[in-house]
Amino acid sequence: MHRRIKSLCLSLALGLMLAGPALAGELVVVMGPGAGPITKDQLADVYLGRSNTLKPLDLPESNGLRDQFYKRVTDRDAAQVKALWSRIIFTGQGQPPKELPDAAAVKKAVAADPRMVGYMDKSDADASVKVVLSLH
Amino acid sequence: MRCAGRTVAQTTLAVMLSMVASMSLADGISTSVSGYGTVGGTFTSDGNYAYFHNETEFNGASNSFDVGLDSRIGVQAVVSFDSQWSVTAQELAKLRGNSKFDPATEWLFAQYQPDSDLKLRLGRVVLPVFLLSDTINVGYAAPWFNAPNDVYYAVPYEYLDGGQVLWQHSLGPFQLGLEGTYGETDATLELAGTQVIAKSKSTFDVAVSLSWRNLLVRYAETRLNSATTVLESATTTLSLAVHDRFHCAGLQYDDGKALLMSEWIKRDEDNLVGFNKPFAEDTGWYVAAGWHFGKFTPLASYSVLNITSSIVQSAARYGSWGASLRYDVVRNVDLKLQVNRAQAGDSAYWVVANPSSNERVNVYSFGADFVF
Repeated sequence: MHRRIKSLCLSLALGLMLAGPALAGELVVVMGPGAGPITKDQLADVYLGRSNTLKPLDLPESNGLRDQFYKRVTDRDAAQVKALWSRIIFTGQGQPPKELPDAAAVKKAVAADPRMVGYMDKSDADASVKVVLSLH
Repeated sequence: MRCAGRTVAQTTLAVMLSMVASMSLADGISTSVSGYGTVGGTFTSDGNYAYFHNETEFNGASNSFDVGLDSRIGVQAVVSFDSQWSVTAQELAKLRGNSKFDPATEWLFAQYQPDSDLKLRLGRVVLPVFLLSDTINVGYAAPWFNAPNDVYYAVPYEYLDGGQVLWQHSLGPFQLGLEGTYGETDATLELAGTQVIAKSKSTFDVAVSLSWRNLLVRYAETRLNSATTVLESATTTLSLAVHDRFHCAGLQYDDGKALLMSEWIKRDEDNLVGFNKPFAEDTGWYVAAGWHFGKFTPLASYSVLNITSSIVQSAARYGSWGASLRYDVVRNVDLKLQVNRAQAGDSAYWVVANPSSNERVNVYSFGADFVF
């Protein structure tokens, strides 16, 4: 029993250490190389399904950056965002942002389509994409 | 639209199947399946009063906890053939009419989307009379367990077989939406123990909405032309032609913390030939305000129903209070509690209202909503 608690504490600590840099990092919003800047309000409209001007991309639910992104851009947590999208999905109005496995896949997608927009840790953004907004 | 309701749905299904058959999987067809549901129930503080959502529910929930009235499950499939053509189908199993837990088709339409702003639909769509009509069964999408009856009880029709045009356009920071729906529909209801069969042809609904950041305003006009058959007894029926006009204004504000919702609806009708009175006329409104405290969202509401003297009702005004609490357990499951305090005479709440009583009766509801 004692051992089990100890290993649980260890894995928790390890988990926090791994999650730590991601939580403290700077999030950036990226689009294809020719894109202009975007405001937080425009981005919120796109990611909450209110505007269809751009095609939003998401990271997996298991990625801590995703909740951070929504909190900073829309001031909503995951359940609130899901409730909003439920209205759009179950009226046949649209599908939620396409989910891609990681930053590399997001970079590839936005570089290929000027209407796509994604987010990632600042350290993952490179010359293949343009940072259109930094979220501190 | 001269063909019967089921025929339109069947035609859409046939079109969908032939499209599937004519395209190979390699053409990039994508399918997405999702669903929603609610497990919960309702009971009232007085055994003389049974709560219902509208007149299509015959028995209602009385002072013993009833899970039938509020539990439901829906499954939706969207088949996209390319970026322009798709078919959406949604089946919903819930209690209908006289205690039958039946699956039925809520949505089934083929959609052509020539550009990102315009959608053209043919088939069955939900009749979007009120602000939340089109997702009234998706509990997870709503802050409350049950929407305010004083507004939402008024239309017994759920769907429309016909066509729909949706247009959404960004104008700077504003989003403008236009919506037009035309077709036919039917419903079986019970008014104080008497069954009524209503079929509305040439039904149409037009709506305009404008949103700016977290604020949405919507106005909708709906016309129903119902051939209404009242089954007075096994051998006697009364046939009436009822022409309803619904005027509905709605507002919603949700900034992630504060939540405000309000709707105002007015139903007016031409006087019935030979009666010099409308069949049913009323005005309803509600105001609801809530706050998101992390995973908890408490909400309070007040709603009013003003009834004009008509064939089925005497003039009256009723007000009811509501309080609800939503708790988001995980990303796709919530738990909800709700209490409504309504007047015994309010026909929007009770299977058999008692207009001569001023008594107040409580409605208690709780349950869980989920999406998958």
